[in-house]
Amino acid sequence: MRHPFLTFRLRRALQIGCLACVAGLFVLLILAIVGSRWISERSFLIEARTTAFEIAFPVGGAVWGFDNATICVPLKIPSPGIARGEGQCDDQLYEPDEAPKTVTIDWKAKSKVRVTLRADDILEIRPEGAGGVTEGAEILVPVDDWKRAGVAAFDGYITLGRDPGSGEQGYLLDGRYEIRERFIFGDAASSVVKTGVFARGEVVEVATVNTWQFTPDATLVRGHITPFLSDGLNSLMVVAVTRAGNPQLQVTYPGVPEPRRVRSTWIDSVIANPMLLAVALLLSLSLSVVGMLEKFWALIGRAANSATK
Amino acid sequence: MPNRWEIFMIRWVAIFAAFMLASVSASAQEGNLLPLSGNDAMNEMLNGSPEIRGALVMGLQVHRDLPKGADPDVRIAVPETWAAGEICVRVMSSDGLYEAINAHRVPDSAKGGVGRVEYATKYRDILADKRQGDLGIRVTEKSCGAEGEDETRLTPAYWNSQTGEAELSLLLNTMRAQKTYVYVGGISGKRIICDDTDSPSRYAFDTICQFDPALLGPGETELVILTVVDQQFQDPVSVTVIQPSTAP
Repeated sequence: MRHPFLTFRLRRALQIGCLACVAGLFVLLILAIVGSRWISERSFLIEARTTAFEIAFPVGGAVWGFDNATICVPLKIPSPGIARGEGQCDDQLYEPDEAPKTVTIDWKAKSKVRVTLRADDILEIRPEGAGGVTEGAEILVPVDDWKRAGVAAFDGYITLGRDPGSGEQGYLLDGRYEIRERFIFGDAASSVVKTGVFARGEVVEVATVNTWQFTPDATLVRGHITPFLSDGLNSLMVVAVTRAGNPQLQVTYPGVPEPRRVRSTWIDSVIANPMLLAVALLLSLSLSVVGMLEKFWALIGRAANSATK
Repeated sequence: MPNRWEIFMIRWVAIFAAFMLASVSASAQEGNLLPLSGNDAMNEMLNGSPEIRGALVMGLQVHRDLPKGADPDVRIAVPETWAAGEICVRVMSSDGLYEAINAHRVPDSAKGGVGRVEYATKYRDILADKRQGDLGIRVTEKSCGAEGEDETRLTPAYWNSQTGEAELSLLLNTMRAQKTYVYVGGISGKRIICDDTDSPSRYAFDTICQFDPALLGPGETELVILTVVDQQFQDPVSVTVIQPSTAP
């Protein structure tokens, strides 16, 4: 009679061990999912071609320099009817333009800029509250001179594109985004949890998700603008990365009153995370092993019973 | 001391008297209105996709928001020179989705005065949501689409408002001009700086220019519209606002 007793004890121990394993894995999985949502941080990478964007600079520091820039300073009161002059800026609206010169714009804290690449390949920069230029002035830079200026870097709140009504020259051409997430367990490198594209004419802004969690200002993006020259249509290439936190993209399509909100869900995080997939796989494997063992012990038990009878 | 019953009676008599007075004054006001006979009710269309018009002027009106559940009260100060003819009333929403149009006949003997347009709408909820800058009402002489219909000769409309009650708004489709100015009374007249409309969807028109209706005066007033595109003034566009010679 010793044999079945041993079998029973061994069976019990194995059963408990397996169940503990499964429960541990299950808890780990739940923790991982919860962790991935509320503890780990996400950021957006945005890469878009546009002919218009706006940036608000909450902190100073960025400086943009351009050669051969024409500065148009608007008249306080326009005087329609007078000769328009030979310059790039209409004398009926602007003070007579000086010869093109090198201009350095110092983006002070709380300054703003509205940039349009005009259809005639002139970059139109309209700063507000910036240093180095007269307030209200509009800066015109031919696209070839802009190429020489290189990268324009920024750190601020960005809006890409403009509501594309008829006649609008500034609009988003195309682009894509990636949501990158750094997972708390395991690999420190971030993984891409979601990707998508922007359609022409959409207006893209970065907003934050309202959560209980304290997040740094994730709507702040750091990026750069470079000329994207092509035969057909020149544009501005904007590449920007949001701060790590809980940002979401707000994408407005013309004529649709409610903006589309782009964010990752827990399913995106789970699917994109190899460790979570591995834990889930282990969990299902161990569950099936437990099941198999159950059956196996039952068979052995039945065989032993029939042998003792 | 009047008892409760007397107070109750006095209250009801007062309410009845106030009601009678209001209806008498309303009918007296109605009596002064010019009878504008429309062909039918306004022909309303709710388009699936935005209707975009090429015209520059998409509306000239005094706007007050339509109360929920009511039909719009649209009045027009018809100039006497338009007597015995037809006028065209066009209503267009900024998003280009709502459009209403109808021609109305002005009585032969009209000496100029305020008329009311029959406007039983099927879309009360949509119209009640339209704020200043969301809706343009353009009233021009001649039947809608008729030969000789001149979009540059118009008279103001009064959307749920009385004449002279608030600022006039001129709604323009500037094709996203950088800036827009309107000179009231010719190029040497008063300069008005226009703004982008606040409307979330600026399709049919994108710019609003607000000014005091007193600037118009009786008879004809020229408005010169100047838009700025790429740091340059575009060719001026002139429109004429015609009001009755006696102020409405």
